[in-house]
Amino acid sequence: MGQDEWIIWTKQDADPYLNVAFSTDGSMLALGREDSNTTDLLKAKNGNLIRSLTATHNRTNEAVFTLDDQYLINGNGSSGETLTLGLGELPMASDSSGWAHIPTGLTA
Amino acid sequence: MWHVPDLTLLLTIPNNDPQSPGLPPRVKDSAFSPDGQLIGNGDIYGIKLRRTIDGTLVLRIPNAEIVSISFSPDGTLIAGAVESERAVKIWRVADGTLFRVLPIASEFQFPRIAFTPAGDLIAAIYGSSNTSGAIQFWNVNDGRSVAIYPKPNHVRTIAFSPSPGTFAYTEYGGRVTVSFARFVR
Repeated sequence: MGQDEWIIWTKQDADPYLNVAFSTDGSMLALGREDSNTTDLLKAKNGNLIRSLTATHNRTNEAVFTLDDQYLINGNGSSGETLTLGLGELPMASDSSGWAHIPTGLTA
Repeated sequence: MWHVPDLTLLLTIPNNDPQSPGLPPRVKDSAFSPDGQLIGNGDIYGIKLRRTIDGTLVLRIPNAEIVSISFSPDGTLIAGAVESERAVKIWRVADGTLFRVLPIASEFQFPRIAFTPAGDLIAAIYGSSNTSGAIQFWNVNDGRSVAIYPKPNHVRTIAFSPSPGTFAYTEYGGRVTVSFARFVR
């Protein structure tokens, strides 16, 4: 069997994280939440928050970085809601004005 | 499929299946092949691979429901998590032949799978009972289980850093963890 798992950092949050994605260069983590409409960008090396991004719907079902790390895309929506895609250009400025959302026409 | 960054809709592919001509099955998971030429999806009838450019079906891999899929980094293999069979199965993309079956020794609830960036290992995360979970790694080439990390909660997602051995995962209950493991291959 393999060697032990060494935990670099871990943290608990009352608002559960539903999914996690590394940026292509490995420097950032995107964490989508289950019960609120935020996706957190963290520094991968220590878990420090870079910023939180607000989506139009709760529950971030998926979050991915584009291969060039220029954008973060997430899919949002709970059961019965219209699923939306959110796209934000990276690095994020001090506000989330660059965070665009489009309804997909699909229902969760 | 949408175009980035203007989010214009490029293509909608109905998930038609010969076993359900009137009602395309719900897509459980989807992924692009590493070269972008194919898009794969899992559903209650197995896996389908389609040409990205126009959605033409190029390969159908019949199986029980597959809820999570992953292409190997070199694009030659596609893996599927089969909850009902308590197994991770790996097929060759070229012809859909079965390459490897990786059995799970416990419950296999809400599984998700991912190849590591180097492609020599594959990981599965799952609920190993109604409350506990696990992260398990196998050697792709010989099918050996190289590590199992039990967790107090179901593990929901896993992601790999480009830095070898570093991975992140989330658990039910709200915990996120970044870990490192140097596997004996």
